[in-house]
Amino acid sequence: MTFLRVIGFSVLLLLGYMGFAHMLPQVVPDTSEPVEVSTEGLDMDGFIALGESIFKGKGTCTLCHNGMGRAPDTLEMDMAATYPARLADPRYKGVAAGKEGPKAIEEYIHESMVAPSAYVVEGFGKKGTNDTESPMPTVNMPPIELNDVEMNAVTAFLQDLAGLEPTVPLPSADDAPVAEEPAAGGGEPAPLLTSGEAIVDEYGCASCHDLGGSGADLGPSLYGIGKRMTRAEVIESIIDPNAVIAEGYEADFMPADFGESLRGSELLVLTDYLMALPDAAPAADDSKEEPLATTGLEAIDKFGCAGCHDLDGSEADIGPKLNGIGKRMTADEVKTAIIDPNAIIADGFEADMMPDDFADQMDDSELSLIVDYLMNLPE
Amino acid sequence: MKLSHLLALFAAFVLLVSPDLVFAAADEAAAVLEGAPKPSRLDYPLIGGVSARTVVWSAAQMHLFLAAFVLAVPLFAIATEFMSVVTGDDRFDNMAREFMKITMAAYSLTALVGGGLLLSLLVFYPHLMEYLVRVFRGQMLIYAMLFGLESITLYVYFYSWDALRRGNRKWYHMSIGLLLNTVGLTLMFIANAWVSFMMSPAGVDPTGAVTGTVWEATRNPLWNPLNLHRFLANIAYGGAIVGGYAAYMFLAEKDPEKKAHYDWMGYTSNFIAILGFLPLPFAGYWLMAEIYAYSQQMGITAMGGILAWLFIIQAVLIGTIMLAANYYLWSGLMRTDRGAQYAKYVKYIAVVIVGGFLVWLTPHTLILTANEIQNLGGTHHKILGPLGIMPAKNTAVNLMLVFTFMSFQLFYRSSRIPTVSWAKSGNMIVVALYVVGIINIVGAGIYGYITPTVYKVGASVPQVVSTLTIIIGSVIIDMFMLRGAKAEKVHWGRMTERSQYALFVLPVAFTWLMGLMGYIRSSLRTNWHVYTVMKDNSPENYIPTLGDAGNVITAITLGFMAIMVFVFWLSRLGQTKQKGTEDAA
Amino acid sequence: MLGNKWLVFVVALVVWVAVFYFIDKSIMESQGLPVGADLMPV
Repeated sequence: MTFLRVIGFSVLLLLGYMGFAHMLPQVVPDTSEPVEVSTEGLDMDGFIALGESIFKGKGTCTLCHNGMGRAPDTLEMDMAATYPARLADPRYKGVAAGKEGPKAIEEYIHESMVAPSAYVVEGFGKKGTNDTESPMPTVNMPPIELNDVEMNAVTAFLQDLAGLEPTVPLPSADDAPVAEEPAAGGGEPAPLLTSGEAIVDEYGCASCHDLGGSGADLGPSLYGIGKRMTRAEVIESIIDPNAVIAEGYEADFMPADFGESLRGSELLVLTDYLMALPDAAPAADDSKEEPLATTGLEAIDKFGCAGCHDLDGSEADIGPKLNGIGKRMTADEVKTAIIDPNAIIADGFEADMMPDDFADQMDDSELSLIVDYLMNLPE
Repeated sequence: MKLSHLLALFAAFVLLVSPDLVFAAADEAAAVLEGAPKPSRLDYPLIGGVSARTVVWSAAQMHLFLAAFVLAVPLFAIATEFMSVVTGDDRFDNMAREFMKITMAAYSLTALVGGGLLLSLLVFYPHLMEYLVRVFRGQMLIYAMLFGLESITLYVYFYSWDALRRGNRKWYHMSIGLLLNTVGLTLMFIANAWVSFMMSPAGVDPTGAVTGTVWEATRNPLWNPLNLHRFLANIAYGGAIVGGYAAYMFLAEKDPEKKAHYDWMGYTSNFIAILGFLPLPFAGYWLMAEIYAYSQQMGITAMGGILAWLFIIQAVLIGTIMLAANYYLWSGLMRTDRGAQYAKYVKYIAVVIVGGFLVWLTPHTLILTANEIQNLGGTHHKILGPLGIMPAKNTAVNLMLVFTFMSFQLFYRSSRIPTVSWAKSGNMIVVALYVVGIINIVGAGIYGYITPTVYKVGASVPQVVSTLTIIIGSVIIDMFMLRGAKAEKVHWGRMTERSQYALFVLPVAFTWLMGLMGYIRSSLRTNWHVYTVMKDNSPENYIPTLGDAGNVITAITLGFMAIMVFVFWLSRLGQTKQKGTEDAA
Repeated sequence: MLGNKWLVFVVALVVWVAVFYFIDKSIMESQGLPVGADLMPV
């Protein structure tokens, strides 16, 4: 009897611990295969954009180069003033010591990646080494393992940051492809996407651009974009959407943070996919029509609401936030807002932004599913 | 004497093997340097639908549980034996022997599971094993040899107990115990070298080619922090398990005299567990600091990335351990008639411990889903935010440790009435020490909160030192103050049944906690067998989710509990005599 | 002996404060972090 009580107590305690482990957020591992993408044909703007994406992604630079005091906050500092000061610092004895100009800065940046201890910024050295030894890992070695092209891209980005014209060579066909492995626990929960369709889907491009037959017209159609723009221009428009605005469209609509959320290889894969799109949307084919959505969530997904509205954490802000809308509007009002979006415009938003043809696109069942779903969304 | 023979044998063996250890490097350097193997995904044997990782994981963790227990118990058995010589109290000697009796049955199982681990590694990860053998060469032979020596000394130590019990012979016996512990610790240090090499390889070049001696590979950056951490944790773990045994015997026995014995044994085991546990956070802090120093990437993977949530579970586990240990100490106050007068302080201690526990498990910068960030209004909670960061957590941990020690001191005091003339003044000095020390810990926490990061880390050191100063200071004062104290009768056995369950919480929580920490330590390598040197390309080279890991850890813990029940049953079986034979004799 | 216990308490407080202050100061300084230097808010 005592024995059973003791065992029962212990097992209950164990199950409690196990249950707690299940209650915490489960970070699902990324088990996708590594991808390799060619960088051939990039121009300098695209190369800089690639560098930025590597800096914030694969290179894991921002793990330490941020405002937390681990390493100099490169993205916030005035690099235009910093580089010359570093080169002139008597403590600096590296390859570019005493030199000046963009080429010397390139050498300095490259050296700081492959031999971090060549110059340690005051106060950032390993403890007890009096700033002679850097805690930074060598970036062309494991576990980061950037190749020469990737390091050049980062260098181009860092030169651009200081307003300099990058001096690194552009990648050629002979160069090694940009390789990217799934995040093996660096705290990036999003799995690595390896196909253009998956990326377009994940980031909801088709909810604003005409793509995959969406017919959306908030942004320019993406069909035939390969004829109108170069690869580098496409990359630049993804990362810095306000740099060039297509005629007839307005600035500040497209989210400007794709450079941060897309990983280096994803950016290139997406660009390749877009460049290869046909000139026009394939003729509407009834047999290929998407099946009817059967749940609210499916319907929301199908019509891409979260692309413009902040919905379940999408944080988009082209339209009003939908979480908690049940508290602000009645079900009928929500329904009207979907089929006749210009009837009422929420404070701070503009008319004519939301497609007004959802009444045609949606089946009645889908419409009511969406309304139900939205009304019950928590704050 | 057996001992000297063994020593001679050992010395001869080391001489035989050592040329390999010392000169192998020179030979290798002359040859073409061969890097670490680079197996592709297809090179990993697939056997049925078996998950290779789960098999190796389970075997390794089970081996570690058993080995930790088997290595720890002789450590405090010999300490207890030494106590019996010093105090002349035979009870200590009997208890030490009883500790060892439990170990004996577990020992052969340790070897058995260890063999299973080796086999599963060879079957599922042949390339890794081939590489590790290449790096550590003859050391593996020495390990096997030492294992044999461990068996011999263990058996001799246990079975010669009664033969070498009195007078000078006792010292022979204790020398054997000392040898046993030396061999045991050496075994652990060697195994730790392999494990820490996989995390922070040394003595090899960036391609993995062996360039240094075995000693260089052994003395890798994380070796010593791991050694210390495991050494302390083993003591706490061994104490907790023996405490669980004593608690079970206490509940099962009806005879008041035996009940008293097992109550005392449970108390002593709990004391040992806490003794090993108190410095553990500091050893953990050192290990973490060394991990950061070795590789910031690895440190951030642990504390800021995918594994960050794990430390919340760790906080919960350590919190339950602290609460259970304290609850047991508080229950113990009823063993003495004076204890009641201290009982009124218990509620205040309880408030501090529970409060510290809550602060400790307040999450800070963790990966949240976008939704959670929204609900929280940012990555930090508005009100609880400050409680989630380092200085607050350090303060909470140190206060919990101080107050756990206070619980222990209250119990200790409850059975002794000081007779020295300056007792009242002495008490005041101790109270003042607590007051100033606690203010200092809180003050350093606030100071760390309002200063930049380097100061935050810097200010945590005075907190730790304050905790240790309080503990060491009041132990020293007590030593003088309680000299010649009038001993109050301790009614061993006057304990509630409920208090014994606190003693079960310890081994269960410790076992699960060790499993969790094993998961963290292995996950730190991410997709590397040997960090930065040999990639893991097996299909299971990713970090499993917390829930999956929780399932495996729980399953292994259940398995270990089953083994322990068997071991305890075996050790009791030895005592049981069949009725009939007794009558016949 | 040693007179009033509260007197002892006060004296002990002062002594312990001195001891802890000394410990804190030497630890912080040995880490190159002088006490009281630029107290920046987080």
